[in-house]
Amino acid sequence: MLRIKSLRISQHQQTSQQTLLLALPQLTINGGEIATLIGPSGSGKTTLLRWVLGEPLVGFEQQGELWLNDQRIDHYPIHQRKIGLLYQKGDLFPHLSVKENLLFALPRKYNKQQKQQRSEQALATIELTSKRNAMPHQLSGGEQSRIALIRSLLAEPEALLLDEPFSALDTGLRASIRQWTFAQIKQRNIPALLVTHDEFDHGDGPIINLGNQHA
Amino acid sequence: MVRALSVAVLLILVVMPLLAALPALFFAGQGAGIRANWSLWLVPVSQTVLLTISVTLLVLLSGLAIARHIGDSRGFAVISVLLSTPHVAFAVGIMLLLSPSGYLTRLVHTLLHTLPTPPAGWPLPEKSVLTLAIVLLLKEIPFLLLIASTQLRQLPYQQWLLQAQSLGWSARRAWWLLVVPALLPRLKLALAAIVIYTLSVVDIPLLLGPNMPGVLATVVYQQHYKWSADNQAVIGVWWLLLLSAVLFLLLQGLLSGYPPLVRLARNHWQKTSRWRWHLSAGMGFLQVGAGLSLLVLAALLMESFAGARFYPALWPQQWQASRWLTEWPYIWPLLLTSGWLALISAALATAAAIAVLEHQRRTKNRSMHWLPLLMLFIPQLVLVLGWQKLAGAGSSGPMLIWSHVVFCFPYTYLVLHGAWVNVSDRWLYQAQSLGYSYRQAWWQVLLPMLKHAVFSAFAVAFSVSIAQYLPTLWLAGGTLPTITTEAVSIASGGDWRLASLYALMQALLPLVMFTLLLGRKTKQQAIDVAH
Repeated sequence: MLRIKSLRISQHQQTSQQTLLLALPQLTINGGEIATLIGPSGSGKTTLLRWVLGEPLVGFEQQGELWLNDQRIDHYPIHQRKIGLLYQKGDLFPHLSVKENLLFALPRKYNKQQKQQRSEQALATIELTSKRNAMPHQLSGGEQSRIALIRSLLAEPEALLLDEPFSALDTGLRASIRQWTFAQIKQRNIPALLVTHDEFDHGDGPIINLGNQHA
Repeated sequence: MVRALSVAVLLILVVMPLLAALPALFFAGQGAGIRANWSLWLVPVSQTVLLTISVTLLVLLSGLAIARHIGDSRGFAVISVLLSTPHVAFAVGIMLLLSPSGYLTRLVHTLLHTLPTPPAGWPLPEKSVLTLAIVLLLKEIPFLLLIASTQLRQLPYQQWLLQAQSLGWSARRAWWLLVVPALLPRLKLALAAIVIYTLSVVDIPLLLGPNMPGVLATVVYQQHYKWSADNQAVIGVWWLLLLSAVLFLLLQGLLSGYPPLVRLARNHWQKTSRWRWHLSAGMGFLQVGAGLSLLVLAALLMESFAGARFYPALWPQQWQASRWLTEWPYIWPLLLTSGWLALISAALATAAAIAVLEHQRRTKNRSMHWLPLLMLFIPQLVLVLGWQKLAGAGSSGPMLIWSHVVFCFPYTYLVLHGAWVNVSDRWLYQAQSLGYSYRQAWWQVLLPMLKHAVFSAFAVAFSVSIAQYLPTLWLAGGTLPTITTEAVSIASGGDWRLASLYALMQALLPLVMFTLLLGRKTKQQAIDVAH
């Protein structure tokens, strides 16, 4: 369960004033649920996502609590939060092959053999075993998306952030990849937070519209 | 941590070298007797001014003409290999090709039977300002192209050209009237470096420049060995600084004079040129450049094996390996010395540039700073002379390595800059979201991602260190001969055959390094790691 409590993010202005960028009193996302953030550009969708991930937000003032499975994590560095991330493009490390990308994600607790096995299994579930040794730029957009998602999942995150993950795909592919991604999240039973500007992409959980705040 | 490292690097490699060179300039006169000897300096100074102005202008014009055809990326590899050929080896090789009895005249005779004896009025005698200018030109154009191509990548100049052509301008006019005015200010630092290099390089004019009187740098060099009471070398150093300042001002004038000219031309010129002939300068430049490098190496190789060889014959009548066999025991230790010196210097210079650029990346400071490049804008002769007066001539080891790193550092900064500051933070966050700490993500993702740039920087620094003549000679005071100091001393002594063997070895060291590090097409070459 991912929970955000009384979050306020404001932006420093040049005149030492601060303008409120976004406020989110309360948001709870249960395991297997996909919450959707919508709003026009500039409404702070991406900033909110970056705050959850733990990126340093230079030029922003932030207060609020972030809880993951009854643990407060907003003071943790990125790598200790156990939150996976899926960007809209360029997800895969361009200098590593598909296999190396997957191995990179696997937790250190597995030995070499277990890692091999898990990455092979993951590739088999998306039927891309043959692309094992391909470099990311040799893959199609759909293949990249699927591999990027299983890579995030292989790291065994306890929550997942999706930053417009489908917007780089063409319409035909988009629906099927979206369905498949949502199914994976359900199956893992982890909370997910999706940012999109396309209303058709939304998940089944709560929908937060950041566009209303300034009205 | 990174900030402290970056500051330390700039202190040790930029500020310290400057401060260390200063005292000699002011106190070397020992009170009395600094009196300019005008007759000594008049000809060298005027010769040098003419040489520097014309070489810089020619480099600029031909560089821009070529850049139009090469654009922003293609042929990068060829340019960097051209750049990596040490200039001494290059000069010796060019000499073998172009001198009155060189391969070129022999080739002309073999094909046309027109030159039965070495031509008397050959425009390129072995030592002259003209020969010097040609070699400098061939060495400096690739440098300008390298900078121009990195700068062009930051301009949407292809769209401008298309737009202009759709408005009826010819591609060539659009380039000179639209792209060049935007590009020119970005080449200012590179041009300043070219001015300084032309003004103060010592080893090339020692080999190819006019003898009596020489250019300014060689006269300073010779005066330095005279230890005369009136210390003419220090006067020469002041001349160098004065000329640097004047030429910088001229360069500034040139750069700010171009836009008004262009405005005038835009309003009054036809949109296409009436002449139909095209100087397709750039088209074959890379091929010619690569071919020339190969020819230089081939000439060096051939000459090092040549036995008796009388004039009109294209090939030597006899071949002999004896020169190799007798010289090898002398060359091998020189190669080792040059090699380890260059390895250590290149590694340190690369690490230093990474520290400075990593600080810039973290503070989102993407512009190219002048401070790390400062050593390119001060005549090397001035610095090395100052250091030598401060530290004495017998200082090998750490002092020598430091001096090499000082001169390699601007190049590693130049080569690494573009790739480093533009790499996206996204990759680090992505790796961290997969459970890696910042430090692990940096070492395991960011650094391997920039491997190609790091290798390029290392290889360039390696060849810069190999090519160092003055610091090695004056700081080590002859206690640490390298392949370069020996090649210069043999070649300036006039034994071109022996010199070609040394020059060949000098050229091979960086070539081997380039092949080792950059020969295989690395995977990420095709990939853009920026946003």
